Amino acid sequence: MDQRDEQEFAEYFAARREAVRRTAFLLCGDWHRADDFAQTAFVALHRRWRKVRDKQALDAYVRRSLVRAVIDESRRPWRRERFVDEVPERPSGDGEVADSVATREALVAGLRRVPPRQRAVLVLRFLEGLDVAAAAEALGCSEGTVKSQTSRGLDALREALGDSIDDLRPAS
Amino acid sequence: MDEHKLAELFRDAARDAPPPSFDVGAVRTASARATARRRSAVAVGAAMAVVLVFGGLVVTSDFMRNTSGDSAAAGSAQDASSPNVSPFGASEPEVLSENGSPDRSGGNPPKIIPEDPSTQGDEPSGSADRTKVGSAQRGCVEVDRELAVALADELSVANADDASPAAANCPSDARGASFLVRDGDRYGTVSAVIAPAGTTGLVPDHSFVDASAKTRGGQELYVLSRSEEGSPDEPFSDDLAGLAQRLAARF
Repeated sequence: MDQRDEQEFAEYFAARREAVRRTAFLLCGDWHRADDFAQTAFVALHRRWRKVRDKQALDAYVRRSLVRAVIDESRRPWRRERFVDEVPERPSGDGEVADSVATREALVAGLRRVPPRQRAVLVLRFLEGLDVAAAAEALGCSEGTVKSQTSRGLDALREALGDSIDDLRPAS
Repeated sequence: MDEHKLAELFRDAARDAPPPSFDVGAVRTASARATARRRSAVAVGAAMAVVLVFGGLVVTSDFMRNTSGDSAAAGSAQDASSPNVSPFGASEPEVLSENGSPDRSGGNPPKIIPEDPSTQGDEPSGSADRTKVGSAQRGCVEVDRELAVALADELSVANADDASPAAANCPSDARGASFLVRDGDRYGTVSAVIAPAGTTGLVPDHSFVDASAKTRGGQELYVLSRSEEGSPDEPFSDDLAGLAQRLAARF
């Protein structure tokens, strides 16, 4: 890449790094691995920078790279995620801050118990705010699949969290 | 369930991010490394492809050359002249210098080529001082392929291509072949020559033992054996007559 391309990439990187890291964190539940995944996605983008110039396309490319990296790694035998029966212990404490921290950790722990692909759908839709069509494009699947995966993912998340988070209880 | 509340929960869960462990420099470095790795992989792949293609061509051309060489030589007795072939320059047969490593069991015989004056004008290079004699002796200068194969079969020589011209005093219309062979502790050259019936004077000197038999075509087949230096006796001298008969039965 020439100087100008490098400058443009650096600006995009600075603008999007934190958002990509947060998405990666909710996809994998660990900040160290999240950084690895985010870096992998940015490296892939850097290598194809000249071919992906549209701003919207940049975001979609990074999102797709990130989701694929997380799902691919979850399939590797030596890094395959294991489901556990018990949600990790919640931090004890009183007050609003403690509740907030507990809610946060409960959600992250609950997400880790949701199958990777359903988790990716939930993160793309509720953290990234993508609609069904955009999530389908990022995941390379149909919109119907996104809808069904969203429904199953929410069920799995509710089941994982139990009554930990009130907002996840079914409306009925 | 309120999707806005759910989105708020997700955003809140990923809020307190620790400092990032990578920057744009690390991304550039990793990108350059990945690109270099890919380039080297492509280069290695291309090099391997070239090597495979080149190797395949070499093997194929070698195979084709062997195949065409065999078919051209079979039965034609037109094999290229051996480096051991000497022109015939004297009326009397002459045993040239001996050659041979004792551990060879089939291959070029020593330079026991009887000199044979040529009437064809095909004096090889490097022999300008040879005397040209106008006799008709021409045979046995080149290996007769058919006879070489038969002799190799009888002597259990692995490769008939190792045959050399017969070490004999051949007339012009004779054909022959010879092998340097080991027979137990004996070591020497066994030659076979097919000459017209009634041919005499084929055996160069008393260092040879010989036997002959009539071929089915009425020609005379001679088998000559000569020991090399250090050999106690001529190879196959005990069964030379049988060897001659077996060979003669093939022609």
